[in-house]
This record gives sequence, structure tokens and C-alpha cells, in this order.
Amino acid sequence: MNFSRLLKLLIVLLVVDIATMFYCAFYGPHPEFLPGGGDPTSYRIIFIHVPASWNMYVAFTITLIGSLLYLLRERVHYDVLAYTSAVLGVIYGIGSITTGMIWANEVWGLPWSWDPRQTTTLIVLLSYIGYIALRASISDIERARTLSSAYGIAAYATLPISYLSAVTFKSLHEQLPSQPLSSEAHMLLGIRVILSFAVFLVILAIYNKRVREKLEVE
Amino acid sequence: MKRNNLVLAVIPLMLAFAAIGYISLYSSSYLEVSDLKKYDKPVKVSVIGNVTKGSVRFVDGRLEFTINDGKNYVKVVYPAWVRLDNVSGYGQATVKGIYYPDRNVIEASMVQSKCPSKQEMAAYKEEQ
Repeated sequence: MNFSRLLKLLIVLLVVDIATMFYCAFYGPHPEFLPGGGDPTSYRIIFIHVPASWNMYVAFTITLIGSLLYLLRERVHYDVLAYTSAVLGVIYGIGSITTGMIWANEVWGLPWSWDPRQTTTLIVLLSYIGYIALRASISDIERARTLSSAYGIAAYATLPISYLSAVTFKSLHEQLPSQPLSSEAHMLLGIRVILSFAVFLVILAIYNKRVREKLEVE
Repeated sequence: MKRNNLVLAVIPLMLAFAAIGYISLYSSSYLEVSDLKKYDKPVKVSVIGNVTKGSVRFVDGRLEFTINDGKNYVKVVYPAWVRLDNVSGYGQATVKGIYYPDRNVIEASMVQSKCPSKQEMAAYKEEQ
């Protein structure tokens, strides 16, 4: 697909994505009350927090695949895919942690409490910020690609730990199936996750195209 | 650097990342109430447990309540007020502070309530 078509698709998807986001943020379903008090409408942030978190996980998984393929096949476009996906993963990761902190402030009473899920997600984010910093710090492009690919594979080890931190360990973070949400809320959340993922894929495609074009020019 | 050597270098690097992740997880995870039994002198702890139904009291500017894991319980004293579920018996809270085994008390420096689960909400509604 050419650049202008991708851009048109992105605009359409963004309009729909932002419209559903605003609908969910202002009119979305939420629990009737919270047993310990607090504002139950704060749960509406789930419609932003969950899609951002899943996009972060997917983005870093694409970085892993791109890095692996680059090391095995030495094709530059795999490295570009890994890099662009890591950048988007970091952006979504910052979104995930920020929205999580806003929600935690209302439900847990503090924005940051070094909970296992918060701590391990921060480790994931810092690891991939390290990936971007490593690339930027090496002037030899070939060497930067090779080393950052090795780093991109290794850093992925932090990701399952972040995911499992609230599944197999005790955490303040309640997993989605246990959240006190109606079926309508789960359905809306499903739509938000799919839309947000589509937007992520189109942004990735555009960004990837741009970086590859820039490399060819150079 | 030869590519094969690089692939081999990825393994220890990956193990290092896994170790960082595990250490961060281990150092931030919570004890259960029964885990406190192993201590015989005051110690700094982070504990998670169910807030015992009807145990929450706010007296003289101090919040007092007990948390349990179904087998054991511990009293918590916190010098401030925080919202806690005092009704369902399923509401979970995390407590950070110093545990005194001789009195079975945690002098808390931080108390946080966990996001309510479906089960907790159902139990709360039933009690109301």
C-alpha cells in the first residue's frame, strides 16, 4: 500500500478510534460503586489503559521478531521493523504506565506504590528505552544494528515477567477477567483494543516506510 | 563480531535481563499473612491479605483493622485514614510497615486497598 493510502486509512481509523475513546471516557459503563469508596467512574480509564498496554506488549514482540530475523537473515528492513516497533512500544508503554498511575491514584490511593506489576512494567519500559539509547550511541550503523538486535532479543526476557507479575504473584493489580465489569463493558473494551491495535499497525507501517525511505536516500 | 558468537552472546544477556526482571518482581512482591509466622523479631514487611469483616475502626486518629489469609490474621495500626472495605470480608489490602511478632501487630507506614474483584463486589451487594 502506498504512503497516501496509508495516511488516509490512518485518518479514518484515528477518527473512529478517538470517537470511541471519547464515548467510553464520558459515557462508558463502570461499576455501580466501589466497596471501599472512591469514584467508580474512574474505571472508564480502562478503555485507554488496556489497549495501550496490549499495544506495548505487541510492539515489543514485533521488535523481538524483527531483531531475530535481522540476526538470522541480515536484511536491513527487519532491523528497521524492530527499531520502529520499539519506539512505538515505548510510547504506548509510557501511555500505559501513566494511565495506570491515574487509575491507581483513585482505586489504590497512591499513583505509584512499587507494586509488582508497576515495577516490572517500568523495568520493561526502561529496557527498551535502553535499546533506543544503545542504537543512538553507536556511530557505526552496521554495528549499531547488530548489537541492538542482540539487545532487542535479550530485553524481551523482561516482558513475560511483567505479564506474569499480576497473574501468578500477589498484586494490587486485578486481572481483566476478575474486574467487576459488565458484559457491555467487556464488549466495548474488545472494540477499543481492536481499533487501537489497527491504529498501531497503520502507524507502524507509515513510520517503517518513512525510516526505510530515509535510509535509501542516505 | 562473528554472527554465531553474537547469537551465543544473546543467551547470557537474556539471562541478565531475566534476572533483573525477577529481582524487581521478588523485591516488590507481597508476603501473605501466614508468612509472618516465621519472624521472631521486629522486621520491615509488605503484606497482602483480606480485610477482616467488621474489623475496621478509626480511633483517636489511628486506623485499626486486621487482615487475614483464611488461616492466620494480623492486626494493623496506621496513623491516618484510608478507605477500606469493612463489609464483604473479601476486600484485600496491602500493608507496608514494621511487624512486631510479640504483639502480632504491624505498625503500618502505608496501607492500600486492592481493586475490587467480581467476587468482592457480589459479596458486598449481598451484605447490603
